[in-house]
Amino acid sequence: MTRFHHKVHAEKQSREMFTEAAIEAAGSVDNGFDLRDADALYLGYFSSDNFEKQAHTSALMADWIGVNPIPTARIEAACASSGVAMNTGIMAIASGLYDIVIVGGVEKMRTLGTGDVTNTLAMAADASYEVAMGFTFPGLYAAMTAAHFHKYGSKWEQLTDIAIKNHENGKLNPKAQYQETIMDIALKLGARKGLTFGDEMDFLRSDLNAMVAEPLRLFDCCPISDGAATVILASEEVARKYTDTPVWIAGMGQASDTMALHDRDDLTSLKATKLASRQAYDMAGINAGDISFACVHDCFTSAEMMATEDLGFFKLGEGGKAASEGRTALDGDMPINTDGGLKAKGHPVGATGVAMVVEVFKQLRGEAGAHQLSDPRYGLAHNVGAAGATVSVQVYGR
Amino acid sequence: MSEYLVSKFWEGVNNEELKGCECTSCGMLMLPARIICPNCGLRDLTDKGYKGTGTVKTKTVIHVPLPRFQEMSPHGVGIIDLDEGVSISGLLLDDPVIGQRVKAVYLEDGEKKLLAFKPV
Repeated sequence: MTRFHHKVHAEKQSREMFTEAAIEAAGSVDNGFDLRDADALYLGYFSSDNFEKQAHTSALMADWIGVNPIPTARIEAACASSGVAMNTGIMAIASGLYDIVIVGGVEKMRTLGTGDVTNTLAMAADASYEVAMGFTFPGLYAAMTAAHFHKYGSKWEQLTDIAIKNHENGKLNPKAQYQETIMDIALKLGARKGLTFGDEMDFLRSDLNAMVAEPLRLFDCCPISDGAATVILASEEVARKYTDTPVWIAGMGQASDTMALHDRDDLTSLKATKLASRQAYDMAGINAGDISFACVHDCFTSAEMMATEDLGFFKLGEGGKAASEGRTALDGDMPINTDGGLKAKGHPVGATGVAMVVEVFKQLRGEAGAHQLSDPRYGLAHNVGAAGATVSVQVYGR
Repeated sequence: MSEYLVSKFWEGVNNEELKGCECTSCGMLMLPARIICPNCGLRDLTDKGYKGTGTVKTKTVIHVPLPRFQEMSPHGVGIIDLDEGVSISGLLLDDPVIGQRVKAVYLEDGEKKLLAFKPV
């Protein structure tokens, strides 16, 4: 995968970022890999039409990485675009039709200013009945967060522990957008403004952490990012030709839910996350307790809190408490977002689902570098489209 | 089928009415109206108006708005459980809390009205 960033790819289009990620993926295969050995390509890209005024992007990427004439398809499922592309690639191989599939994701967001990016992201919600009512995309998550606080007594301070932890992990990840702790950022911004902050909370409670949609502030939200990620899937029959230490897909699941939040009974939980993860656990023949670590969709800090509950790692209502107790840190009993998550690693929307797979792959092979866990057995990737109308989950093992 | 259009819902809002439908097979209430009942899958739907009174299910106050709502920002928005047993999103006036009683009001916004709720 490329580094995720808001500036370093300024001169590049999605095609250059995707090609960079594909070259790196092919180069990382132990016994060598020619991209032209692939039988198909699936691409996650949420909004090329808006961001780059370019459609038909799966054919464009296949052309640029030199794999014509294999079949391609672009998959759009908002922020879950490449998680769904993964599931599509897995099904294509499981069907027996293909032996090798390239799955990638990309998003070039920094072509637009923040206002137009906000407008584009809001297209992933119900334009006619939510956005037209005054909701923004962060507003929908803020409404879920408020419902969670109201029902369970969870608190904003618990969410700050999630942001602090994800930035600590991001500091150890050379592909992350923000390789700095929140304290590093507080000192940097403070020096610029002539302000001093005693600790993270001092900074997070200040005006520099602007309110976005109550109770969510700037440091509860993932950033706007450019980037691409690519992985190569191979059937059991051919995988051994390419590597002696493959990572196996143990299970997958996917579910949908109502577009509009107001059509759901419970706003403190994503039903599609519960369903997709149970499908994946059943297929793998395991349960949530067998998962060693997970990359979950933390587009907002509260989304990570809810995900760790819905995936079955903690009881409903206790995700925030678990984060505050350090249980989701690298040295905790259930490490979450070991690569910094969307919060610190960045969130080029269509690339996120596959970037999670890259992290899970590296962790399971012991190649994650400074943020490597000790001997993980199963890793999980959880990718959410918008406010939970699409969720994909995969479980990976060694 | 043509009566169940998105544009019909917003015409209703312009006339200060909340128009949805009801499934005559299973009793499922819908607001806005749909073409297929999401509960039983049948299409035996009949028009139903809603009074616009209910309680706040959840809420937020948006400080970074979309351009259309810039002038009223920061603005409240939330999800309302209507008394008939169906929920809808809308703007919130006068900062009600979760669980508070509210009623629908219709705000002038150029040619089209906006749906909002305020404490009763």
